[in-house]
Amino acid sequence: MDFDRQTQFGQLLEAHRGIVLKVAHGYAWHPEDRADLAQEIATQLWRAFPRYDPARSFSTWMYRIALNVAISSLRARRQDARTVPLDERLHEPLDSAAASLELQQQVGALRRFIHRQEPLNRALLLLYLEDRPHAQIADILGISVSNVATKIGRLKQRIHNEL
Amino acid sequence: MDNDELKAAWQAMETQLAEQGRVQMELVREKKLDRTRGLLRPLFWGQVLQVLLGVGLIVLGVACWKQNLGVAGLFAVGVVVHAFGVVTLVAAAITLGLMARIDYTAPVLRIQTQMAQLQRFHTLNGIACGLPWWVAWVLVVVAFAGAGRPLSSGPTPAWIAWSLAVGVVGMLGTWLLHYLAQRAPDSRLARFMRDTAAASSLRRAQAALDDVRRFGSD
Repeated sequence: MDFDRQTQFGQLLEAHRGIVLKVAHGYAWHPEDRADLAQEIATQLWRAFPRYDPARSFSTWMYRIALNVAISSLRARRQDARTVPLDERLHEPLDSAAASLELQQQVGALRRFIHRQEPLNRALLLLYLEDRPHAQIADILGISVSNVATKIGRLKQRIHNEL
Repeated sequence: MDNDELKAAWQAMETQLAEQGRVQMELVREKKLDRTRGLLRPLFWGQVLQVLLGVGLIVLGVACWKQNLGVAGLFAVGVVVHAFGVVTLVAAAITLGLMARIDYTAPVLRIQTQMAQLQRFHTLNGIACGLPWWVAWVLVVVAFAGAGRPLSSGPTPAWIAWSLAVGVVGMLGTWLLHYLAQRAPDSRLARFMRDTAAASSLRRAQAALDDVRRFGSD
């Protein structure tokens, strides 16, 4: 029974592992912190899995846990992203054959922009970049749909001004 | 960067992450899911220890005042230790209760509010149950002496009076430093006090609560 549950969990995690990686990447700059955070998110997902209701969206459930763990972990590490120097050398460059210099620069700029955001705004930004519907973003964050629309409007303005 | 460029950059980042992530997700498969590390686990065990300390203080306090019903000083010490034990126990129980309601599957805003409230209460708990130890250790020593066997009433030993006096001065001094630091937030003293663990922890908790409220109310 436990083996079945673990298999089912493993399959779901594999199918949605991008969520864990993107959230971990969004909230931890250093590779070791990122690996730790991905592990912590996976651990909390596994702990919460027995209470997962299959009638509800797995990705919404996963986003809630991943973002909650990531924001709490960021606060626990006392790491204020606004004051931490961002060292590009900590990230491997994109494959130069597949990515133009301009694209590499854009990816770097987007990374820095993500890490400049406050923890809750960063959650909103990640969900926006993922093209999640407003209703799902509202459900994940626990705010109204109209509030999501307002915040995304401001976010777009910041993107326009800063990127 | 226009919207198409933004999405292209995000897609490129995703591709890179998918490659890097294979290594990370291997860790997850290696039966590490049941490991004991967790964000709140050290706090949990700390509070369990505080509950045990509270129980110990209550037992000690009761033993002291029951044994010395006729000795006013020792009776009072027993009552104070008993009361301090209750405060210690209740504060730890409330902290554990705040921890128990945190369920990461709930919406982000609710959980982040609960986490910040937990951090704030935990810090206040640390101050309320930690600061009195300037004096409480003397009372605990006296309570141990009084709990063993009935003591005849007599003059209070000088070391007790001196230790209590030093403890009271220390406690008032600590409180005064915090008070002065609050009155002059830009002073060197205030900066020093802000760097102490309890003050910075409270400030972070309050900042997190403010962030969450601002985000939810916009």
